[in-house]
Amino acid sequence: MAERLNNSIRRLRFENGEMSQAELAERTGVTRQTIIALEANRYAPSVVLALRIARVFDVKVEEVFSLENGRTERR
Amino acid sequence: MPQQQKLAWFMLAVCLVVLIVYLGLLPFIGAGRATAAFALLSACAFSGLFYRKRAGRVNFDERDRDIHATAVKVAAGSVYLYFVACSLVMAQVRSAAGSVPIDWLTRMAWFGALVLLGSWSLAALVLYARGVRLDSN
Repeated sequence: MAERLNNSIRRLRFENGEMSQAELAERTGVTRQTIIALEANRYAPSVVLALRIARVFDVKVEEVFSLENGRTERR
Repeated sequence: MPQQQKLAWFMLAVCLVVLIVYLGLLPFIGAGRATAAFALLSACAFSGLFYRKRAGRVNFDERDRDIHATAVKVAAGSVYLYFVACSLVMAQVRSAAGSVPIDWLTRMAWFGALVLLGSWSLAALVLYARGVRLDSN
Protein backbone atom coordinates (compact mmCIF):
# COMPACT_ATOMS: atom_id res chain seq x y z
CA MET A 1 0.00 0.00 0.00
CA ALA A 2 1.52 3.33 -1.07
CA GLU A 3 0.64 6.32 1.05
CA ARG A 4 1.58 9.86 0.29
CA LEU A 5 2.23 12.54 2.86
CA ASN A 6 0.72 15.87 1.87
CA ASN A 7 1.18 19.14 3.67
CA SER A 8 -0.22 22.65 3.77
CA ILE A 9 2.98 24.42 4.71
CA ARG A 10 2.98 26.75 1.73
CA ARG A 11 -0.63 27.83 2.37
CA LEU A 12 -0.01 28.24 6.09
CA ARG A 13 3.08 30.36 5.42
CA PHE A 14 1.09 32.76 3.30
CA GLU A 15 -1.76 32.86 5.79
CA ASN A 16 0.75 33.78 8.47
CA GLY A 17 1.91 37.08 7.06
CA GLU A 18 3.62 35.60 4.01
CA MET A 19 6.29 34.04 6.16
CA SER A 20 9.41 33.23 4.15
CA GLN A 21 10.86 29.74 3.88
CA ALA A 22 14.03 31.06 5.51
CA GLU A 23 12.08 32.35 8.53
CA LEU A 24 10.20 29.07 8.94
CA ALA A 25 13.50 27.18 8.63
CA GLU A 26 15.11 29.35 11.29
CA ARG A 27 12.15 28.94 13.66
CA THR A 28 12.09 25.16 13.27
CA GLY A 29 15.86 24.67 13.34
CA VAL A 30 16.31 23.19 9.87
CA THR A 31 17.81 24.41 6.61
CA ARG A 32 15.76 26.30 4.03
CA GLN A 33 16.38 23.40 1.62
CA THR A 34 14.53 21.08 4.00
CA ILE A 35 11.51 23.41 3.95
CA ILE A 36 11.69 23.47 0.14
CA ALA A 37 11.84 19.64 0.07
CA LEU A 38 8.90 19.42 2.49
CA GLU A 39 6.74 21.77 0.42
CA ALA A 40 7.54 19.77 -2.70
CA ASN A 41 6.56 16.54 -0.88
CA ARG A 42 10.08 15.23 -1.39
CA TYR A 43 10.73 14.66 2.29
CA ALA A 44 8.75 13.07 5.12
CA PRO A 45 9.68 14.91 8.34
CA SER A 46 10.23 13.42 11.77
CA VAL A 47 7.47 13.71 14.35
CA VAL A 48 9.52 16.35 16.18
CA LEU A 49 9.87 18.54 13.11
CA ALA A 50 6.19 18.09 12.22
CA LEU A 51 5.22 19.22 15.74
CA ARG A 52 7.62 22.18 15.57
CA ILE A 53 6.11 23.32 12.27
CA ALA A 54 2.58 22.99 13.69
CA ARG A 55 3.64 25.00 16.74
CA VAL A 56 5.03 27.81 14.58
CA PHE A 57 1.66 28.13 12.80
CA ASP A 58 -0.25 27.54 16.06
CA VAL A 59 -2.34 24.75 14.56
CA LYS A 60 -2.72 21.01 15.12
CA VAL A 61 -0.25 18.80 13.31
CA GLU A 62 -3.16 17.20 11.37
CA GLU A 63 -3.89 20.60 9.86
CA VAL A 64 -0.38 20.75 8.46
CA PHE A 65 0.14 17.14 7.40
CA SER A 66 -2.26 14.57 6.00
CA LEU A 67 -1.90 11.08 4.63
CA GLU A 68 -3.31 10.45 1.21
CA ASN A 69 -4.11 6.83 0.54
CA GLY A 70 -2.80 6.02 -2.91
CA ARG A 71 -3.91 2.40 -2.80
CA THR A 72 -4.96 0.93 -6.11
CA GLU A 73 -7.43 -1.92 -6.22
CA ARG A 74 -5.99 -5.14 -7.56
CA ARG A 75 -8.10 -8.09 -8.50
CA MET B 1 22.56 24.02 -1.54
CA PRO B 2 22.95 22.16 1.81
CA GLN B 3 26.50 21.91 3.13
CA GLN B 4 26.41 18.12 2.95
CA GLN B 5 25.41 18.29 -0.72
CA LYS B 6 28.40 20.56 -1.36
CA LEU B 7 30.55 18.02 0.48
CA ALA B 8 29.19 15.22 -1.72
CA TRP B 9 30.09 17.19 -4.88
CA PHE B 10 33.55 17.88 -3.43
CA MET B 11 34.16 14.21 -2.58
CA LEU B 12 32.97 13.11 -6.02
CA ALA B 13 35.29 15.66 -7.65
CA VAL B 14 38.22 14.41 -5.54
CA CYS B 15 37.46 10.80 -6.57
CA LEU B 16 37.30 11.76 -10.25
CA VAL B 17 40.54 13.76 -10.04
CA VAL B 18 42.29 10.81 -8.35
CA LEU B 19 41.03 8.45 -11.05
CA ILE B 20 42.07 10.80 -13.88
CA VAL B 21 45.54 11.40 -12.39
CA TYR B 22 46.01 7.65 -11.80
CA LEU B 23 45.00 6.75 -15.35
CA GLY B 24 47.12 9.63 -16.68
CA LEU B 25 50.24 8.47 -14.83
CA LEU B 26 49.70 4.77 -15.53
CA PRO B 27 51.26 4.61 -19.03
CA PHE B 28 54.30 6.67 -18.01
CA ILE B 29 55.38 5.39 -14.59
CA GLY B 30 53.58 2.07 -14.23
CA ALA B 31 50.79 0.84 -11.99
CA GLY B 32 52.86 0.69 -8.80
CA ARG B 33 54.10 4.28 -8.82
CA ALA B 34 50.85 5.62 -10.22
CA THR B 35 49.19 4.73 -6.92
CA ALA B 36 50.81 7.94 -5.66
CA ALA B 37 47.75 9.60 -7.22
CA PHE B 38 45.72 8.23 -4.33
CA ALA B 39 47.57 10.66 -2.03
CA LEU B 40 45.13 13.23 -3.44
CA LEU B 41 42.44 11.50 -1.37
CA SER B 42 43.95 13.36 1.57
CA ALA B 43 42.01 16.37 0.26
CA CYS B 44 39.00 14.71 1.92
CA ALA B 45 40.50 15.85 5.21
CA PHE B 46 39.13 19.30 4.37
CA SER B 47 35.58 17.94 4.55
CA GLY B 48 35.28 19.31 8.09
CA LEU B 49 35.34 22.82 6.64
CA PHE B 50 31.90 22.25 5.14
CA TYR B 51 30.41 21.93 8.62
CA ARG B 52 31.90 25.09 10.09
CA LYS B 53 29.43 26.71 12.43
CA ARG B 54 28.18 30.11 11.39
CA ALA B 55 25.94 32.34 13.45
CA GLY B 56 22.25 31.99 12.63
CA ARG B 57 22.75 29.24 10.11
CA VAL B 58 21.84 25.55 10.35
CA ASN B 59 24.51 23.41 8.68
CA PHE B 60 23.13 19.95 9.29
CA ASP B 61 19.55 18.95 10.02
CA GLU B 62 17.43 15.80 10.17
CA ARG B 63 17.05 15.54 6.38
CA ASP B 64 20.85 15.66 5.98
CA ARG B 65 21.14 13.02 8.71
CA ASP B 66 18.62 10.73 6.93
CA ILE B 67 20.40 11.18 3.61
CA HIS B 68 23.79 10.55 5.21
CA ALA B 69 22.52 7.36 6.87
CA THR B 70 21.09 6.01 3.60
CA ALA B 71 24.22 6.99 1.65
CA VAL B 72 26.41 5.19 4.22
CA LYS B 73 24.33 2.02 3.73
CA VAL B 74 24.72 2.29 -0.05
CA ALA B 75 28.48 2.91 0.29
CA ALA B 76 28.94 -0.02 2.69
CA GLY B 77 27.01 -2.31 0.33
CA SER B 78 29.04 -1.11 -2.65
CA VAL B 79 32.37 -1.69 -0.88
CA TYR B 80 31.24 -5.13 0.24
CA LEU B 81 30.28 -6.10 -3.31
CA TYR B 82 33.53 -4.59 -4.61
CA PHE B 83 35.69 -6.67 -2.28
CA VAL B 84 33.68 -9.84 -2.97
CA ALA B 85 34.10 -9.21 -6.72
CA CYS B 86 37.83 -8.54 -6.26
CA SER B 87 38.24 -11.77 -4.28
CA LEU B 88 36.43 -13.80 -6.93
CA VAL B 89 38.42 -12.24 -9.77
CA MET B 90 41.73 -12.78 -7.94
CA ALA B 91 40.82 -16.36 -7.15
CA GLN B 92 40.14 -16.98 -10.83
CA VAL B 93 43.13 -15.08 -12.21
CA ARG B 94 45.70 -16.29 -9.67
CA SER B 95 44.40 -19.79 -9.01
CA ALA B 96 47.37 -21.39 -10.76
CA ALA B 97 49.95 -19.33 -8.84
CA GLY B 98 48.23 -19.95 -5.50
CA SER B 99 49.04 -16.46 -4.21
CA VAL B 100 48.26 -12.82 -4.92
CA PRO B 101 51.00 -10.17 -5.35
CA ILE B 102 51.05 -7.71 -2.47
CA ASP B 103 50.82 -4.68 -4.79
CA TRP B 104 47.51 -6.02 -6.09
CA LEU B 105 46.17 -5.94 -2.54
CA THR B 106 47.44 -2.39 -2.05
CA ARG B 107 45.74 -1.24 -5.23
CA MET B 108 42.57 -3.11 -4.28
CA ALA B 109 42.50 -1.24 -0.97
CA TRP B 110 43.04 2.15 -2.64
CA PHE B 111 40.32 1.52 -5.19
CA GLY B 112 38.13 0.32 -2.33
CA ALA B 113 38.54 3.76 -0.77
CA LEU B 114 37.51 5.31 -4.08
CA VAL B 115 34.44 3.06 -4.26
CA LEU B 116 33.52 3.98 -0.68
CA LEU B 117 33.80 7.73 -1.14
CA GLY B 118 32.43 7.74 -4.68
CA SER B 119 29.37 5.64 -3.88
CA TRP B 120 28.62 7.71 -0.76
CA SER B 121 28.83 10.91 -2.79
CA LEU B 122 26.71 9.59 -5.64
CA ALA B 123 24.07 8.16 -3.29
CA ALA B 124 23.90 11.44 -1.35
CA LEU B 125 23.56 13.49 -4.55
CA VAL B 126 20.83 11.21 -5.90
CA LEU B 127 18.94 11.39 -2.58
CA TYR B 128 19.17 15.19 -2.52
CA ALA B 129 17.81 15.32 -6.06
CA ARG B 130 15.14 12.65 -5.67
CA GLY B 131 14.12 13.27 -2.09
CA VAL B 132 13.17 10.94 0.74
CA ARG B 133 9.49 10.14 0.31
CA LEU B 134 7.08 8.36 2.59
CA ASP B 135 5.40 6.59 -0.33
CA SER B 136 8.66 4.79 -1.06
CA ASN B 137 8.33 2.87 2.21
